Amino acid sequence: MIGEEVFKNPLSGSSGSSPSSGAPSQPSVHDHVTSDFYSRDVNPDDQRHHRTEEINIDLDSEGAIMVDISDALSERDKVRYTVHSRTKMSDMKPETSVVREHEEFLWLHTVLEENENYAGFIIPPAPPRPDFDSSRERLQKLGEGEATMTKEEFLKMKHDLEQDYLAQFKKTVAMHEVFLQRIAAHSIFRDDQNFRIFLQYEDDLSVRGKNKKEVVGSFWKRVTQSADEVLLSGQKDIDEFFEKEKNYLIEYSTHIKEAAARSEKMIAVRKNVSELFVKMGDCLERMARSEPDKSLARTLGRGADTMFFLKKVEARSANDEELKMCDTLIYFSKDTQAAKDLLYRRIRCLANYEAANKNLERARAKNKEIQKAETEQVEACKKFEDISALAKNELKDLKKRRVQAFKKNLGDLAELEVKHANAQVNLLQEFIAKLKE
Amino acid sequence: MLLTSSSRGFLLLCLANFFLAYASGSGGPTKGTYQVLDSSSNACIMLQADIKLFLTYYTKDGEKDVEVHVPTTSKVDTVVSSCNTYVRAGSLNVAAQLLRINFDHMDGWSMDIAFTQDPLFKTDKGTQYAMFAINVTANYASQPTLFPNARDPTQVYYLPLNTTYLSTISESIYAENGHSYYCPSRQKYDINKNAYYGPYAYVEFSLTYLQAFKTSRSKTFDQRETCSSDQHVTDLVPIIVGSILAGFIVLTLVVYLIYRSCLPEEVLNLVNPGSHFENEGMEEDKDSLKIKQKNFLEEGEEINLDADPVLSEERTDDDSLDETFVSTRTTVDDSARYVDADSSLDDRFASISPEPTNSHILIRVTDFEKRGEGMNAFIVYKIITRTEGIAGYANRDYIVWRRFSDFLGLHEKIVEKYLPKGIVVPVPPEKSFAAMTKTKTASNPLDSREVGLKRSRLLERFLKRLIQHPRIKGDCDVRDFLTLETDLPKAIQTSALSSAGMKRMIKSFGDVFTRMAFHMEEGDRWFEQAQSQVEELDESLRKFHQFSESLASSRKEYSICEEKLSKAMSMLASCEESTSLARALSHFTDTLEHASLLWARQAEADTAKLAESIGEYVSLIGSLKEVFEERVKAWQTWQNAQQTLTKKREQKARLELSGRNDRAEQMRAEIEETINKMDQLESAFSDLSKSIREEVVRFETERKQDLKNIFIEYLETIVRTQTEIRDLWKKFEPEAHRIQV
Repeated sequence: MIGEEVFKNPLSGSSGSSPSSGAPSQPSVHDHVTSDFYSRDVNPDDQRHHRTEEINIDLDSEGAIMVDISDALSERDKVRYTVHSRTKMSDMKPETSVVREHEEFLWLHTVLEENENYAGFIIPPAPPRPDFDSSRERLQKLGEGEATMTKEEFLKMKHDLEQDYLAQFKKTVAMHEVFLQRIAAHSIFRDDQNFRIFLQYEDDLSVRGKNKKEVVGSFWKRVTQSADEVLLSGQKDIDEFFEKEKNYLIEYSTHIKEAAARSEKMIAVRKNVSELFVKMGDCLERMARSEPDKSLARTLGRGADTMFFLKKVEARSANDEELKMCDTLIYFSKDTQAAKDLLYRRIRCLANYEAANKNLERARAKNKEIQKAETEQVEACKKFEDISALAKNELKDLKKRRVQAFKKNLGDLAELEVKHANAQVNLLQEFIAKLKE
Repeated sequence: MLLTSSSRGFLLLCLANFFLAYASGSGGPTKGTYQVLDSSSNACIMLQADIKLFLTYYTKDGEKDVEVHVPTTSKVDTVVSSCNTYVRAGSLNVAAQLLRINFDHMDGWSMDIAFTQDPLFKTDKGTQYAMFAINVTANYASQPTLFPNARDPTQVYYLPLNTTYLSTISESIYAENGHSYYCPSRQKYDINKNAYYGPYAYVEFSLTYLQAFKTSRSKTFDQRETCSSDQHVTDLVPIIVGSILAGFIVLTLVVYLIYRSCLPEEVLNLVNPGSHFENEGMEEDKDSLKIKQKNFLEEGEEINLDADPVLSEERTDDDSLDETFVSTRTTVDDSARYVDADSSLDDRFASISPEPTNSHILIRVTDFEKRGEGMNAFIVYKIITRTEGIAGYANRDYIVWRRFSDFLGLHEKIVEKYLPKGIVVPVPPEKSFAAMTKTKTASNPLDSREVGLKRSRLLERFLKRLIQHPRIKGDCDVRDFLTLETDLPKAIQTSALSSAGMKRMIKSFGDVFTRMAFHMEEGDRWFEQAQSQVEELDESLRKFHQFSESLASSRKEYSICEEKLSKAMSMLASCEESTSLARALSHFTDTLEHASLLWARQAEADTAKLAESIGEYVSLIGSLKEVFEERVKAWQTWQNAQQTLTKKREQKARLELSGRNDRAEQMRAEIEETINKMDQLESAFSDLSKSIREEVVRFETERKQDLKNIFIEYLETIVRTQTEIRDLWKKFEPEAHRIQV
């Protein structure tokens, strides 16, 4: 019964903000229960509006599409997102609202990736699958442990859990939103037919998850791609820029993946630490309750309060580290992967181009079908040149975006860490003074 | 007569010969035995081994590999072999012992094995010997079937010595002086693996039993050191045997206890409960041990001079962490109250003399070091005591070294004296097998240092707690422990595996059983309440302790994770293309690394300031419970006496009825005596109850203050860490903003 209560609509708080003001930078109304301590700088909707990088769209310009996810609904095994879009484009409806699922986002990503016309672009990485299994599991455990807990403890744990779940949920929604906004902000992708369909087709897109055959197929595609990559690694590149870029991206990708994994692990441990503070606080509270001596009970109670406070700070620090550091690393490790894919597509084209050259020579030697081979060669050449030109820009752009995002996030992280440490020092000193009384 | 005995001897000899012949008939002895004798015909090198040589030789048109088994019947060349010679190795002349083996049935074949004690090789400060050279002289000509087509008629294989890598050569076979090297499994050693010096060769020893630089006159090998590859095999058997034996002991115990619990009560009373647990033989040992340990102390002080610098550094670091040098101060009114309490008690309860004002005593366990080697290794802790105006302490400062079992011995003595009086005796840290093995094997000096640091802290807590108690403070054993500069007699009873340990175990088993058998009807409301309170407190404190321990370990893990992340980040920074971002990232790396150090320190503080303080309270509550049990026991003996009295009265009535007045008279006297005894027991019980009540009150007041202090001290460590963390990030912040897009 608790499950339904929690999982009904975690975004109901923010859905109160009217769709017309759904610009991402605008903070929405939140119904967070402010705690006794640490309320001065709490922003529970931080996750919702945190962006690893800023995507600015000027609505007034011709051809801009504003996209946001105005609502999301969590059901048993899937999440339904309400995708809301506004535009001034003449060939589109000015304002629409459609319900989409995670699979449909994946579909959009796949069609973009498979479209040959976009071979020269870095395709925005697909958002991660919403994963609330751990929250669900903990909720279930909470339900089982209900009998052994006091009412207050139960309510407190439930509240904590809800907060966690909410944070997780909002983060997932934000990631889906970013994906769409990146496409919408892109000068080419935003005109894509499939994207339009995704935004404006009112009914289901009927792209229910991949069936088994498709899963095997996509796996096979990955395998062939990496095999092809190995084969093509011997391909000599005429362009020094790309040769350098390729080596660089391969190295960078391994390092950033490693760093992302490490930071994820670290944050998990830190969350664990904060959980332990809660447990210790509970212990102290229980002791305080059964303590006959008044002053000792007060000391214990204060100790418990301190522990709860420490939990809050630790959890918040962990959250901020996750948002500002871990997420940035993951985000760019995905983008780096996308850039690597782009380079692969380019080198594939190069190989095709060279093959076409050889075909032409052979055809000339045999004096057969020269015309056909020639056109093929010219096509391949053009395609390759197009891709190279586009890719060069895209890679430079990626680098710029990365530096920008790191600058912002590292700065934010430092600021937040200072803030948390400050709050901790000040409040702990207050606690110590109280204890010394 | 003479004839028969000699003929019997002959017969035996024949039999022995027969067996020998039989053994050699079925493949010969499996290993060769070689000895080198010195001028007084004592063996200086002894070697038993099965040796195989794997040689490469040049044929006329290439190379070939051949395996040569050194005949086990080979003899030592007594002319060349020597107990004291010089062997030329590279450009060096090395003082060595040399063993040359001439191969049996193989003319011109010989093998030289040289051993040295020279510290140039890996022989720790000359206390070890090692094999450092093997030469094989081969005469192909004498073995044309084994070595067909040999290019050269002879060849010398030798171990080329590179003077820059001397220490690596002799790493393979070495042992302590006066010990032998034992290695039954097959071991391969390269003689030559560099074609530059000639053909390849290596030697394989198996069933090796070797000793060089032997000084003892015995004809046998001295104590052996097993090579690493065989150690697990030799350890396995004792472990299995040991665990089987332990199983038997437990089984016997259980059977005995079941048997005991089935006996009627009278029989149990007949068997005097005290008689089982007397400590005999303790006194006799004391003197001899004292002398032994005196010698040891002098040795120990020498070691102390070159104490580990890293350790002291660590310690000072630790010191700065707990700047609050907690003094155990007992004020006058405090002790006066207890004097009051005492004066009302019976004479049997020791009373303490009033003390002058401003008396205080400070105890610190500041250092520790390892003494002894191998299985006899132990750690001693340095205790510094500073006193002011305490009776019995003449000097102001005392420095003593005590080993861990001394602490346990002290605890034992205090418990014996004060527990029956209803006093809560603090508990020293537990003897743990893990810590013991770490000390004994010393596989990792870092490990044992951690154990030592932790122990030092716990022991300091124990001593402070002891001295804090107004009645234990004045105890002569405690004083001796803190002030006597000589070593204390070894506490035999405290070793983990001893008869005393066994007795303790039996006793605790017995206690559990009697507690189950008897149920005390609590007449005292106060006690009932106090006991249930203590139980409750015990439970939640235990839980709290457990959480605080896992907090410390999680924090430690966090710091490790952060360090790993900083490493990954530094890799990322090094491959970042944008120079300004790379610079910021490397600053970030530094920040993370610093922070990880700070968190590691906080994890230490979590352990030292929180987990251990709470742990101390958990153990104190344990001893508080013991005190309660002591009261139950006193009550039991009183009840028993009462029962005996009624029985005797009945007996007397029966005797009087049957008219045997002389026996009845005797009975009356006995009853008189029992009544007396009962009165004594009753008053003892009430005294005990009274003193326990006072103890509980004292305990509560202490607890109030202590818990507050624990919180405050702990929070202060967090404040300190957070302040530094804040400064770190503050330093980093401008770096992040300096990134140029």
